[in-house]
Amino acid sequence: MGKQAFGKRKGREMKSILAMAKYRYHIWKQGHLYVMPLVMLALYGGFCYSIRPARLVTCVVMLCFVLFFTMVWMGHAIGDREDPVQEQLLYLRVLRKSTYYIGRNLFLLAVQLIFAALGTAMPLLLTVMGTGTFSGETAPGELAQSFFLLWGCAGAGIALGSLLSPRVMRDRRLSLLLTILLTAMSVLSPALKKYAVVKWLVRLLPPISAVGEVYGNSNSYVPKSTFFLWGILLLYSAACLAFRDIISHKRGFL
Amino acid sequence: MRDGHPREVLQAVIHLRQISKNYGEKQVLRDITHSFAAGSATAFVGHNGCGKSTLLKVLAGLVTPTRGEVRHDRRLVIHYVPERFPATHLTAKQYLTHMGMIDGLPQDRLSEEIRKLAGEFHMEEHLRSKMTTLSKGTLQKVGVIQALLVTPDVLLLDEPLSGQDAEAQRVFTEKVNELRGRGVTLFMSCHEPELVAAVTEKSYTIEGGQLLPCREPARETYRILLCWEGESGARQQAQALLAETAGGKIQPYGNGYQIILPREECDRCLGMLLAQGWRLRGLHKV
Repeated sequence: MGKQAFGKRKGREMKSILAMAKYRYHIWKQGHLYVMPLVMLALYGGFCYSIRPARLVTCVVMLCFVLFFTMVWMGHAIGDREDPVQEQLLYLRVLRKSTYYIGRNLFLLAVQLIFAALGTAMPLLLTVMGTGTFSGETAPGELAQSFFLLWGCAGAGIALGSLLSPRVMRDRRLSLLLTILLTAMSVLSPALKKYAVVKWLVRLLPPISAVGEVYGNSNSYVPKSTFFLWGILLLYSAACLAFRDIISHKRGFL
Repeated sequence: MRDGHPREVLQAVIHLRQISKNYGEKQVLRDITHSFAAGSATAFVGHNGCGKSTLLKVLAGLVTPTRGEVRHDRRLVIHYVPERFPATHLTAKQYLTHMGMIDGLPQDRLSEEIRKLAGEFHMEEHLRSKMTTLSKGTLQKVGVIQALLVTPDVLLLDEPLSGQDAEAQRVFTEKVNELRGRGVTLFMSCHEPELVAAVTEKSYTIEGGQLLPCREPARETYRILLCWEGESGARQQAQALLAETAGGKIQPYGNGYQIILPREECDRCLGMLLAQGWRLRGLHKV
């Protein structure tokens, strides 16, 4: 195939991927799945930032866990609401099946970024408005690191929820049970590591507790640590989604 | 012709090799080996639950067989009209726009194509309605339109006329035959013999999990619907002649009657009945 034709084909595939992500985003928006996470963010913001002076790092670390929980729910709900027949229509109409999976993951990436941005917007607005919420200065670099941490945690949450959704697990009750159990275990993993019985399972869980371990008692960010945490959380998220796609592809649609 | 290849050059595009499919204890498909030519039009008929939809899904690669292999000679764009088209929270127009964009249609051509197809299927006024508010038949039309926005390599139709009015059925048949003319490979599962005859070349039935060619009926027969529009005084005599023509097998049907005639008798008998004052209201192959 000539270079031009190859480039054209790649361009078409990219357009299909974007169109597919856009379709999923539209469905998600019309389905109002964003309401519960928005409410959670608002409640958390109202609680955390009302206690002054607040420490940005502490507030963001706690928000990381809140966001992780809500995004696990989000990933699970998105998977649960996928109509199998509509999914078949999408899967069949693309030439390369990877287009279908990449489009799906691109949409999940968009959702993570939206909520990470919303989580960062709260302290940003409070800083810009000069409310004096935070002790000390809130530098742009600190807000940027907050965004990356929130993104990493949102990504890990949505990936875990998506992997455990009924689309993959088939048994709805088991899917729900595992989602609750593994989410709780992810947060409690430092305590669970002591037990040989679950040690191996803890290693497979998202490294969300690392955020608390690194920044739990800290007043400021260390960029190297922040980007390391962001990196491992995103890697985990990517691995989860890849695993989910492999299982979905092998299983087919019933 | 499609991409310059005449239809006579029918290379196989989808191969099934010893396909079996079980759902739990129940074996739905058993050791099916068959190849389907590119550009061919095949119907799968049979009673409910015999495995027609399963076979369609195996052909498309949606369902993994329990045993055996499905091979596509090349990557295929497959469009699918499911038996029950599911609604989304979008309007029909929004949904079709998204599907068209995934298909790669440019925006201006896409709007024009949606408008044209919606017009042909008489559902323009429903385009801006949410799919969740549409009737079953209108929703099914959306399902058909999304499959016709661009020319696919393969068209899968699972009971495509479910809930469709007569005009929609006519338009659908025309569109499908248009696609056949462009070399689209067609697979259809349905119960209606008229549709099978109108759009497919070969039909198969699934019995005991096996794919078997449909037997041609020993004798082709037609179901003819007639109503009386002659003088009311002559009606009784005309009815007697009708009963004689039909060998005594005359059944009331709406405001007229229904008779069954073998193909070779149709021209002669129909001519006679029409001359007497009967009017033809329907003719269906049985």
